[in-house]
Amino acid sequence: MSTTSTHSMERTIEATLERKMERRGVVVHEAPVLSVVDERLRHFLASRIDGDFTISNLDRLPGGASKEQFVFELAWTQDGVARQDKMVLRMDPPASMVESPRSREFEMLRALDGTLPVPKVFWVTEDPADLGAPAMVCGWLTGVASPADAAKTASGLGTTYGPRLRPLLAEQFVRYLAELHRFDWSGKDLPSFDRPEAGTTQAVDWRLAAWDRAWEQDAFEAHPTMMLTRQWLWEHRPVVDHVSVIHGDYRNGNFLFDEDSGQITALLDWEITYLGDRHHDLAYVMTEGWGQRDENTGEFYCCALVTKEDLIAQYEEISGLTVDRERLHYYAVMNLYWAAVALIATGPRNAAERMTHLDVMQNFLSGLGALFLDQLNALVGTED
Amino acid sequence: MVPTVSQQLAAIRHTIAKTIMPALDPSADFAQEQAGLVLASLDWAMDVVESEHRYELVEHAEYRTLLEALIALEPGAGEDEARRAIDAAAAPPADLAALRAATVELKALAQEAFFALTATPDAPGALEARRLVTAVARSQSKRESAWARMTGFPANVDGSVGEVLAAQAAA
Repeated sequence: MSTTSTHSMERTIEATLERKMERRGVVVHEAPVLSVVDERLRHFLASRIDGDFTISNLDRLPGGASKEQFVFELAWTQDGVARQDKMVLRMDPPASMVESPRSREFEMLRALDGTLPVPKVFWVTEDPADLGAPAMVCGWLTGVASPADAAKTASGLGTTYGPRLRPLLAEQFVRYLAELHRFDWSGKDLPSFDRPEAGTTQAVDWRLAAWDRAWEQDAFEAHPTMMLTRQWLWEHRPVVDHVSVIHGDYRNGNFLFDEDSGQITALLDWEITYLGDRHHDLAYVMTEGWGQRDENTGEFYCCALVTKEDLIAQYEEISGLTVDRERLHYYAVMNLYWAAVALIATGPRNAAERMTHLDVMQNFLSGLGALFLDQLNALVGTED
Repeated sequence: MVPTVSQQLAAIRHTIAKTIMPALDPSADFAQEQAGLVLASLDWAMDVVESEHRYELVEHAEYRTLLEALIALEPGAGEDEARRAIDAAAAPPADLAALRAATVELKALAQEAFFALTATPDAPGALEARRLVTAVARSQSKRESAWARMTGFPANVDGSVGEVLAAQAAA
């Protein structure tokens, strides 16, 4: 183990991390001016839409801990049919808590369209000359991220649903995860993804290398928990038996639902998606920090939705895939590791370098990093 | 020293809450969201600002001890640099920024020593190195949890950061 990672990672992820370093010290975030966004968007769409179109009601969206988002209405013609669509422009700030190309999110959402409730994607660009930053345009989906009477939290972390909605949402939440992991991606057009081989540790190796690199780029100082964890993760890499599409950030607060019917309308935030081991998402769903303990029974609900045993039973039945407790443990550590990289290294670095639109939030969330580091000590430290 | 940093922060917070927040457009969701986070962050800064120097002193001493223990396990490459840093750390800088920089250097050297000692997991000294680093990690977590308690995220918080630092300095 060296202080500098030399392992290989996915090509597009490496290129994105390199571009981040090229921007550092050169580019700072500037508050977007709606008229400028509007003008760039018109120019961008003019080269992608045949015929006339109009943009209206462009406005900035709150929420999220990563991308800058705008909503607008587009009157246009597609395949000879006049349309009026509400859309979301999702743009990279100069630096994000997790760096990833918009093209990956775009390609995966396009591949999953019709299989899962995901935003319909329309256009993407990695060229900052187009819209000022890499960006994609996707369809607006109705729904809320949390019940009207729930406390609002940073980035929807720890969102709770109450006794009426919990069982309704839980069934869909587990089913969609199972369907995602059994989804056959092999014939899909995913040029921004490297394809790991089943029966190897490639998928894990590439992920670890990327998180290690981000830590080396962004951390202000060495950290004993991160040293122990990094070493533990490389020493205990499990073989991936079945390569699935991994969401990467599958949790409460990252989906929309209709509050009356309890129907999930959209699974959001696909920026970390990759091809890998299903236990990554499963362990993430089980992360203690997202969950809720029932006030009456004391039972723990993963993502404030489903007990661990019910999650595993329903998931195995729907997906036809097994859940391995040892690999759950491994990915629990990996999830805490990458989250700690984002929360105590990348977020504060982005704020210090003035490269984010969320300066204060990205420092504030380091408190969550402190929780995760404490949990990692129990998982990878030596016995007392 | 008047006003102190604590006094400044309190005045800034009062002004934002009293004058600026009510003047924000209620429909400006993004600005409202960020303003709320600004207030929460000021509450956090006011909770810890008086303890920052002591925090760095405790950490500086802890990493000097760790680095000394690690290089004692297997003196080798990098030992001279480590010894120089350990000797220099005998008298911690009075200036906060210099103190922090010295601690960051001690941490980097401790990391190098740790990875060298554990490069072969079964090597003599590897287990002891992990034990030493685990102990420091747990001690640091207590400080970090107390430091970040106002964010509402950390569990197992043993009081204010001032109380935790006092307990660690006395240990």
